[in-house]
Amino acid sequence: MAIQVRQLIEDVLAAVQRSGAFPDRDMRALSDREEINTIILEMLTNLKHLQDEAPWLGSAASSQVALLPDGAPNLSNEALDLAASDGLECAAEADISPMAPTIERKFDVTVPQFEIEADSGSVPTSTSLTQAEIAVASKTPTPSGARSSAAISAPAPAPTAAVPVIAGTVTKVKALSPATSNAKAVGNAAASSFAPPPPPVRPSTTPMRMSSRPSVSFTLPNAKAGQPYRASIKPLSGGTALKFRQLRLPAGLALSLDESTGEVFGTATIDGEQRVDFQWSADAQIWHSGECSFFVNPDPRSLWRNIPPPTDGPFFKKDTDGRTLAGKGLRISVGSRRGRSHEHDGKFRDDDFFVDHDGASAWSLMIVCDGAGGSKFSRRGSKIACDSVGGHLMSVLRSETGQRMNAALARWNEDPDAARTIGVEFHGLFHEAAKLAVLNIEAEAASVQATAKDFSTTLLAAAVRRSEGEMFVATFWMGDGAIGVYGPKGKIRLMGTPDSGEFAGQTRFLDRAAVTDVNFSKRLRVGRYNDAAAVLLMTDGVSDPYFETDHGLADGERWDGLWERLSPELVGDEPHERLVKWLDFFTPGHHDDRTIAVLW
Amino acid sequence: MTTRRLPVYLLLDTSGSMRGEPIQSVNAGMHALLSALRQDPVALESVHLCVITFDTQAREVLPLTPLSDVALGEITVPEAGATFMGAALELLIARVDRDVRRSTPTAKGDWRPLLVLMTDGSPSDLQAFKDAAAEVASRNFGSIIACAAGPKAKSEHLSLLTDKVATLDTMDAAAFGSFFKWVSVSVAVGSSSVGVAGQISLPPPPAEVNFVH
Repeated sequence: MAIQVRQLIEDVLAAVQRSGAFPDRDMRALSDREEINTIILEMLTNLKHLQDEAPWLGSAASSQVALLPDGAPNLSNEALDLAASDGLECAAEADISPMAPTIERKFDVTVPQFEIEADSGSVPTSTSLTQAEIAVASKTPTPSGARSSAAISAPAPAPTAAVPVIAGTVTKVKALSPATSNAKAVGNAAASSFAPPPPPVRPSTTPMRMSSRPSVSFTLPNAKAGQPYRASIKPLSGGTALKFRQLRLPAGLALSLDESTGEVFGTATIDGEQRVDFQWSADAQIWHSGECSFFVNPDPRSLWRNIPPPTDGPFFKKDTDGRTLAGKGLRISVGSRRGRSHEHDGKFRDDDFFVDHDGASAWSLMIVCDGAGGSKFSRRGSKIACDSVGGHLMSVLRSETGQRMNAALARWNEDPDAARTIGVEFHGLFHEAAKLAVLNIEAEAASVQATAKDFSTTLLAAAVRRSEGEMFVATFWMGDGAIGVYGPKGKIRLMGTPDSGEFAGQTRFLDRAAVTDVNFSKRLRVGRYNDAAAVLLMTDGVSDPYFETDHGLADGERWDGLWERLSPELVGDEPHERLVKWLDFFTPGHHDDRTIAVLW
Repeated sequence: MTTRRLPVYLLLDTSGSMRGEPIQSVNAGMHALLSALRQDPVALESVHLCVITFDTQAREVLPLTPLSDVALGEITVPEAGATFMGAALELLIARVDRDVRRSTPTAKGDWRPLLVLMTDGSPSDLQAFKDAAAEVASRNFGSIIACAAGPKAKSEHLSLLTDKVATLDTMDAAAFGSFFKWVSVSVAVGSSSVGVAGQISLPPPPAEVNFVH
């Protein structure tokens, strides 16, 4: 060992002796022990700034020791410097450093007790001493600029290769500190036991260089449990191509090291914060210990709970519901299902529906409603809106008005006025129905000392009369979701545009303002088609995953895609039960309640 | 298909008075926040975090990053710093304008972003703070939570920003721990309430956090 190093170590031990912390031991004799040398050199390497007054480190002059053994790794000072702006590194590269207390301490000579365990055959994962010490030391910036706070990991080997520190005996040092901090990093046990007071760090004009003892932090990108992973271990400061070997991982993590590329690969099987250690080298000659942390994210699908809503809650609503009806030459089926998000939170389904068919007049009616997420009684609002509009429309369609409209429909081709008559009639009808719904909601709100806003809901409605190959459709659209007349293949007639705002999720609801809006009529459409295959109404729990945007809604091919998925379910006696099952499909980011009504 | 993002902006005071146990507690709180959010399936899919610290400067220490990719280093406090909260808000506004996506006909935009601001003092750049606070109000955040930590924090400035001002009586691990836990629940609620018009109602704050109305 170089003479200067020896001197340094002896200085340290002399200071410890002088401190009186170990009155019964001859500290200088410890300089013969490999492990002690290692520890001391590690400490010194990682303290970048030395207090001149620190008697236990000798004078500033003696601290200018550059240890240059053979085969020193060729890391630049920048690499060692962990140059970074204040505070954190950029997310992708930042090392999850163990939490070290930033407790400001006055310099005092008391050296903490060290408990030294010889632990043969294990590579030091991290000596908490080294880690935390560095972190604390580097926290106080020099006037020239703040040093990086990233913890320097890796106890480095002794300068001479003759001392097989890495491969063989390695010492774990556990500093027993009287004042362990409460603030432990979650899942980061190493940091919890620490903290010998470092000398208060002051800018030193002659920082000690130990190029043989590189202190490098490493990063690995986060992984996802159950998904293939392949990523390189990289030094935090970037750059240098390094070689890696002997990766050690927590049991069960199921990842391996590709030594030729330095990549960690595999499919992580356990989630949580993981620490791995390994050996690294710049030249495949001299190897150092290294380690780094990364996070394995759990598979989101595994995190979904299914909690029933409160059975004693007001306005109870079933998690699923559906109905199937038949008319002459047509069937109607509707399914409604509580979304994954509400299942997870134990909340009610907020969607609702209304479907009916009158054989005598051949009129069908389909309505779907979506109660607003943030409104506490919106599940009740959606039900009231569906029932109010549905009830009113059906009673009118069954009556003389309905017959009048049928007559007008029959004259559609000959009489240009017929279309207009029907349009005006439906305008009046839907307006009355909407007003009724709003009044009923307001009354209900008052009866429970709530506001109408607490019952906010969307409403999409379609009155359909299908006979002899002709299909007449009159629709009303308030809110998001979609109403479409589909068919033949590739063709969609969208019966309006969804209400949306600048940000995702904003929409309009059926309220007083909506029914008194001068542009109310814009929400109505009528049409007559002889090539339509089906009429579909859905809440945004279905339209969002399938269409995503207004643009997507207008895309016939996307409707083809939906129909391909949907039509196989429209079979048997109870297609609504199949629909309810179908509505359980998993699409990341889309966990809303889902309702779909189909006439085909 | 891309999932809609929920941008969450955290503005953290790193002025000189935060040195020691306070910032240590904040770091622990942040880690706890990350751990908690990572256990929430909705948060994992949608939350994107951005962390800005402020002392004599405002710094974006974590750019808007998906929750699953966040590797949070340690937030530190420079030797002696004032509290340039106005600069922090200005940086926030610049980042929001740059990063948050609006809906277009062809692409769904982000959910309304959430903002959490924590300070233990008052803005050294008061005028800048007042101007910026007014600007922030027009950026349509889904929810803004401000936290006045410790005895020297002044909550009246924070009331310019939001009516949800929480105060912590102490700046120890327990207080910050509770606060960050509440933030994580609020973010989770926020991510599941994303479709809501108007202000999202937050879960009730824990005992250590007092609301100023």
